[in-house]
Amino acid sequence: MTHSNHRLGSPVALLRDWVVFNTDARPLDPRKHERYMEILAAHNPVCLACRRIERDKTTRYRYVRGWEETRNNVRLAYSTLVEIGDLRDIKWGSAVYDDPNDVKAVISELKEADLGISVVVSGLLDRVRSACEVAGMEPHTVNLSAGTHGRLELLPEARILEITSMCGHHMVSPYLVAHMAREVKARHLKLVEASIELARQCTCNFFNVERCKDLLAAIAEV
Amino acid sequence: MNIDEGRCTGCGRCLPYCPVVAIALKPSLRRTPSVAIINQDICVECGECRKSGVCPTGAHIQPELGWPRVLRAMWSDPIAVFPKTMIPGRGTQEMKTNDVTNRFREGEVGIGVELGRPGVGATLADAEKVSIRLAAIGVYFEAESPWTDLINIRSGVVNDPAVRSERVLSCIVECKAPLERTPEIYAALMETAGEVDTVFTIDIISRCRGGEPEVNPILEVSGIRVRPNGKTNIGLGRQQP
Repeated sequence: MTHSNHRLGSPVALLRDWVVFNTDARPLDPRKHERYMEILAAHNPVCLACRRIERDKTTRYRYVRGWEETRNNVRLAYSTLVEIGDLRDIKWGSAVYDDPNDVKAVISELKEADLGISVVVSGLLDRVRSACEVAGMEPHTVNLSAGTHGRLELLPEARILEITSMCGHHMVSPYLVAHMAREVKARHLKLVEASIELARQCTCNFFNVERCKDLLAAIAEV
Repeated sequence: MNIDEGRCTGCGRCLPYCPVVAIALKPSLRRTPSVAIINQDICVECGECRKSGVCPTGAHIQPELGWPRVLRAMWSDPIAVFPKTMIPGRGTQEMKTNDVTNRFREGEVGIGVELGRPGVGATLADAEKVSIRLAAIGVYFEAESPWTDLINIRSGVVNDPAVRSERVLSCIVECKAPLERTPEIYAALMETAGEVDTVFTIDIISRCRGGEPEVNPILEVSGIRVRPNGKTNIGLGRQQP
């Protein structure tokens, strides 16, 4: 799956949109994942998520910046950064950042930690390459986005796609974006509440709520 | 997905949560004012309406899906696990673990064709058109990809014609070939763009050399444009003892 490969937006907008996550070709020592999550959590993530082995099942934990400010936060059942940082028996983790300097620091610390975990960084390719150089390494493999083709008239409008493409599985409905924009315009919801409601639909927690707030404000004209 | 009419209050809250507009409010003869129904032809079985938890009465009911409808969930619900690979999602680990698996070697290009993406959806008949075209020019279909499991890899034709009408949020056709064939594959896909009843987004996977993607000079000479952002496997994985 290529769920973070096609995030749409201008290079300037994408400077605020980075995803870091791991995938394991085979099971690894959970202690390595714990250190990995500590590093992700330490650099001001917009979103943080992990999966934890609990008896015979896997449970997902996630944090999204600003969830404490929402009025329906009990139902959302998010965790704090500290709570996620304290978890053990982790097997997968991801983070979203809105500052390229945070990503650079994460890459350098992961290199230094030498955990042997396969890590993917989604974002502006030249910036990732530069960050790798600073850390003293070279990128291994890239996945490039060669555009969308076919019946382009079927696509949702571009400014909505900038929001929905932040969930690569497209669990964030374009119609929900329009609905949330109306709710914000009518002052039924705050921008942060509407953005987190959209983020809540993204199973992988790759949805950048900070970027969404700006995009949604433009659509809602607030 | 079904809606239990006995529980549905017709509030309409679930309607905008459906990514493919499969839910509508219809007047009910037995009650007022209305009841939500799901168009089963359009529904891609992503489960988003139920998982959103937005229904105050829990009226969304997920029935057990038989063949071939179960394929809709396979390519639309991110947490559905493909039985053969035990990987959740629509495809493989592709380049995400390439620093360990070496699935894409130096001198090779990986191609992913994401039918229906972003946000349009596709029938598996569209995916078949792409795979027939790719098979005709000769590519190596990714053995662990759920899509490859459905087709004859020599012809690209689906093994079971019944799957063609199944509608999914996005289906990935994954393959690889020698690096120098990238322009030929891209050209074949551009021809297919006029034949499908949806959109598709193309992934080009390449090893890096000296920090640069090996495929870059070929893309430049061929005029194939790629976006400034993408995914980078930063090369920290290694075989564990």
